[in-house]
Amino acid sequence: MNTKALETMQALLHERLGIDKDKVTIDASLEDLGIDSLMQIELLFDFEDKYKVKIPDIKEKPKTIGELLKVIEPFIPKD
Amino acid sequence: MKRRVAITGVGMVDPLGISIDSFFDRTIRGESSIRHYSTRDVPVPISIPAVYCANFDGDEILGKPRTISMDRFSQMGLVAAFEAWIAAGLDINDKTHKPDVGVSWGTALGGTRIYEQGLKEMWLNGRERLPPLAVVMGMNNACASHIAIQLGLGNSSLSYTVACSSSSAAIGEAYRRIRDGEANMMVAGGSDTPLIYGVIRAWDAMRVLSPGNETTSPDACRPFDRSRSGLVLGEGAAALVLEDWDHAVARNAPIIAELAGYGSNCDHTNLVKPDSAGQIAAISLALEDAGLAADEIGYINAHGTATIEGDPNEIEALRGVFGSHAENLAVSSTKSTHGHLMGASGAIEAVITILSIENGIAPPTANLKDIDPTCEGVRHIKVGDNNKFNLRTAISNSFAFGGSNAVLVFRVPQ
Repeated sequence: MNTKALETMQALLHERLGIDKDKVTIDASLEDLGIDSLMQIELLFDFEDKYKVKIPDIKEKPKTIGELLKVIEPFIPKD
Repeated sequence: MKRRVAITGVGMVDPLGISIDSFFDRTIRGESSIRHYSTRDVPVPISIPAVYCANFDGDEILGKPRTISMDRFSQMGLVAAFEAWIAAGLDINDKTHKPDVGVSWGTALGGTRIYEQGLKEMWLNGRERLPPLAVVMGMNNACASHIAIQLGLGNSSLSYTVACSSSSAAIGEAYRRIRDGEANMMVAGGSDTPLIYGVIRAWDAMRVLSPGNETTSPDACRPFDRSRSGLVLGEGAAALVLEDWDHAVARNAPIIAELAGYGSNCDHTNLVKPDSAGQIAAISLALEDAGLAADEIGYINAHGTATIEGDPNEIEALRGVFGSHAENLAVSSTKSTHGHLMGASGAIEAVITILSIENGIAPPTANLKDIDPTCEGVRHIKVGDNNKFNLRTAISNSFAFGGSNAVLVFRVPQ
């Protein structure tokens, strides 16, 4: 898991949902952070919009920040 | 045996963002919340007199992430519902399942704003997709759904879209649910945010919006006046907690007023032209439901939109129902100060009517100086008139495009 991916997620959740960045850790539960399945879809849409990418449909729904990061990490630009 | 229905809490999004008490004080003084409003970031800007809740910040009041899936009309509605719930002595943090409590909400436009934003992105900017939350933000029952989820209301979640009668119908149908034993409590009201470019342009095209500039906008809405020139759009929300009378007494809840009667019908004559015969029938049904004679009514909060045709039509209906009592019947249109909140109008006017009988004072029609001869025959309350009297019962009228009429009768607790 690279640091940039986590920082990207922290910034996104802070901007959209007002969640404190220090609460967004790899092991944090999405449910505990108040992120339901509908919000996950909205966040993925935001991410796609930001980086102009298309994330394929997810078969297993992520339950933690770490699992959500695994979905988006391949699409975060390297630079 | 019909059950009596108490009102145990009221709340609203005040146009100036201060408090319901200061809003009522300004309404009683006839102080206008109407200002000059200009659209921004649109192809061809337009400026109109309007009531815009500039201080309302849903994110700040309700907090993220709760607001991420809420359009402005839902945010305003939830804030008003919370205020009414607290005023009724209830806890907004109690989300436990309440099978005997429901919500009944009115909105004419729902989440039109989110659809307009989506259309703009697709048609102007060539975007292929809309945000995934667009459906649940835009649907007309979104606000009712949020209120039910936040307060654990398991009895019912009902939404009414009946143009300008929307929230009066929502309140009236909620009243029937309690009266008939289907629910013990209902949160009822309405919210609308019509200051959207496409909506403003649509109303402008109908040629029913009153004109105004920076100086004249506060006086733009002049119901019943010879110089009236049309309606003024406004945004906002208002909510009531309705409760079975015995249920309210048992929990020692504050009873502000009684919702004593409700009448509704449809003119089925014309999409936009009001019909006094239909209005007479609706008011008569409400009086009959309340078990009151016409001469027992002390005040009418009129629909009074300040259109050329609508105002005389309503006064004709009042003369028809109240006969010789009409001359003594206090009448005013508070749209002159808070504008026309579309589907939320009935709710904000219901709150004003309740506070009027609670305080024994009738609000004036602001800007009414030269009564149009076609609107004579009732006791118009103007700014500066003696408006303190022993108000026992009052009516709030809502008459909508499409011919849908909804009339609510309120009475002091006894």
